[in-house]
Amino acid sequence: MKKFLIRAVLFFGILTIVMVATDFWISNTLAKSESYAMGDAKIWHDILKGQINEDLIIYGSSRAWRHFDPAYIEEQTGLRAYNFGVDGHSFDIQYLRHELYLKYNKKPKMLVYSVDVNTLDMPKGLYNDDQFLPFFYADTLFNSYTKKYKNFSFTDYNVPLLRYSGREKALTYFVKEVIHWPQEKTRTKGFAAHHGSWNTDFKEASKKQQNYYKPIDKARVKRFDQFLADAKTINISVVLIYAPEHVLGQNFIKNREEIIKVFDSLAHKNKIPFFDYSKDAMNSNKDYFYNSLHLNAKGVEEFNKLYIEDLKEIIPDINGK
Amino acid sequence: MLFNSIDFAIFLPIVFVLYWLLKSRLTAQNLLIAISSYVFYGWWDWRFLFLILFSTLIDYSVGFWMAKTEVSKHRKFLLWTSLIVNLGLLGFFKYYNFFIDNFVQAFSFFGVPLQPNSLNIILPVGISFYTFQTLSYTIDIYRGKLEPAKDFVSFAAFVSFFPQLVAGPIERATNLLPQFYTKRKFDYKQAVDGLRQILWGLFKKMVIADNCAVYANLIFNNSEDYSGSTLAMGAVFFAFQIYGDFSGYSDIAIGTSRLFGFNLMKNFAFPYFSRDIAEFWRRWHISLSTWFRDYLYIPLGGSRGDKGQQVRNVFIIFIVSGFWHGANWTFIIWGLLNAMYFLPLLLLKKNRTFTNNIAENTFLPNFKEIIQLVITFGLTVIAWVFFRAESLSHAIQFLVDMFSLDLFTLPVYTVRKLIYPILILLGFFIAIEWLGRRNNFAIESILNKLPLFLRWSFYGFLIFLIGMYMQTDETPFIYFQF
Repeated sequence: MKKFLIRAVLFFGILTIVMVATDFWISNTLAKSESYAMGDAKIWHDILKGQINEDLIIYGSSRAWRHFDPAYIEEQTGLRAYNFGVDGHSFDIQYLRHELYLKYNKKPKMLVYSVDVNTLDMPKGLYNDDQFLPFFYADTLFNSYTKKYKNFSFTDYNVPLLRYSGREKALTYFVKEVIHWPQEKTRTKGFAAHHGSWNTDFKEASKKQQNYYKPIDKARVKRFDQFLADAKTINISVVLIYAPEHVLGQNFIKNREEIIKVFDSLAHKNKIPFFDYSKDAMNSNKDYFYNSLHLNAKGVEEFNKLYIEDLKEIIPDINGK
Repeated sequence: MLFNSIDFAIFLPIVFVLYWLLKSRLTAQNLLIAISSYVFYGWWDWRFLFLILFSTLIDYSVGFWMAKTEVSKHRKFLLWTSLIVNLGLLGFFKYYNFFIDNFVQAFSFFGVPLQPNSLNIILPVGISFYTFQTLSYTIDIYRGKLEPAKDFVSFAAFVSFFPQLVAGPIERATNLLPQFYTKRKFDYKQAVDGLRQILWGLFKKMVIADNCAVYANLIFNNSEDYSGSTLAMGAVFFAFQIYGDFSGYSDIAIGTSRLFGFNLMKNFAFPYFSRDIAEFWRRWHISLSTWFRDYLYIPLGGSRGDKGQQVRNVFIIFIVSGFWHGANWTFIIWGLLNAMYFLPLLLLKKNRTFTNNIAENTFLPNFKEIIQLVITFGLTVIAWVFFRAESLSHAIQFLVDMFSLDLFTLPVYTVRKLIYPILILLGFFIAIEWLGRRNNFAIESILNKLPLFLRWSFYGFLIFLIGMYMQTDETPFIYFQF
């Protein structure tokens, strides 16, 4: 019996050590991957390692990720920029990036916040939750934020390696990274243009839901307001931008104007600029979009010209001129 | 409580340690087994504990009084009491609605409409298994093969023994009950063997069965959308699902019993390496097949008597076996189909051609054996379609669509899961099973000659595969529904 128990403890002890080591290996490899989880994991990794330290950060959802090209901003303004747009997420996870960024990196001079009708939403689940897997032991903030969504179980958080169970994509990317399988770099400084033309996304979305009311949660509005106030306190300039949205999509939300007014009033209250480009003529032209919410590469080129002039007007202020 | 659950992972070590702390006290150990078994069973639905307790009391009393009397009439009466109570409960919980519905349908066929009076009955988990186990007790006492239980605690522990309570192996009282009377000594080798068998069982269930189930369920649930080749793929996946699921359960049950110093009977002997259907049935669900052989087939005359009697007995045993699995015509046809596969072998006296292992003295099978193996596997896969289908019409349509011209095209399906890892895992599984086919379970001794480091690495690798490929939700074992 004694021999059995000693060997059992030894076996499971060694197994635990191997699990921890393998977890570290997989997590570390995936965190550095340029293409895993649509490039989002790499952004978290760079934030946590304090490797960004830029002057201008773009926040928002996929509408930030797809629309704001840091290279163009750098070329036009001389400010080093990075795009933190996180696909499928609202202010909650966007704010996690903000918190971690300030914790591990140099404070930026300016934040460009791409707002939209979903910014103040609380999604039911974590979209593209693969991006969070490598960071469960990196910072407790990851756990406290992701736990709200219930995508992960108790064992996922507490047993090494188990959260990769059934995550075939993660394991495939891990193997590809280990064997140096050539992979496409999905983003440049967080930005990736989409080169497609108008697709069937809008048609499919119309079948599912049309013209609905989006309740505005006062607590989330208050939290966003606090974020703006806090940024001001630590001398970070913030600009709110409502990027183009095709007119077909604009009709989707009954109270869209009411939501935009919320951003407008928050901007007014905190004395920050708010640029709404969703009323520009380009919003009626399908050539600039690949679906109603997202501009394609051609649309981004056109949009660049619109917002950069407005930004340039503010930048002398942030540089103290 | 499921074997593949966190609950069981906590429950088992606690019971194991408590059990061996009581090493010199046999009654206390038996009592602990009985109480733990009730906790294990009550985890699903505590109300059904009364059913087990009732069965236990009835059969203990029947055995007790049967031993007290020599009068044949009294003994027969007691036996019938046990049969009626046990089969009555089984019949009520499992078959009541089936008979009522078919009765109503039969009458409406003859133009006499009846109002069906179906009840919303929940099937108690494992009722078919423990009913047959307790029946073996009273029948064997009646036949004079077994002495009645020496004490109630041992008997209660025998009936409710948690490793095999809900899905077998269906133990014969002559094998298991005496083990409760003898002092168990901790045996290192037996315990390590037990752990190894549990590990292999978990791999079969959580990696092979549960992952094959993803494809089998998708294809069977939407069979009208798929080509012949995809349906064939679904049926093959189901064949591996049910084997991995059920034999995996048996391995965990046998392995767990070994941790407590008990030896249960073998339930599977690599059935997909069979060369004909007779051999398949000697290797598949052995505890049920031999139960029917001992308590039904042989009393009916077995393979003695004229050809007509032989044919009748074969059909009875296979149909009853099918019906044992569930109250649905699909199971009856599954049994009937297997009877039809088996009958030619019996009539040509070829039903005992293969009593040894395939490729007994060689590493690989020869060409003839491969052909025999493929044909036997193919026949079982066809039969499994009836077992898995929702209804007879579903099974027939499935087979008609499967044997269409597009059987020879590439399977097409839509599922988020990648199929290649599963195919690789299946290949790994078949290879290990093949290497270990001469043992009680695949990894029993194939690694014995390797150094400890390599053996432990292999076990660690299996645990890694279980961790990586298990399903997010705990999936119950298929045979729990029977």
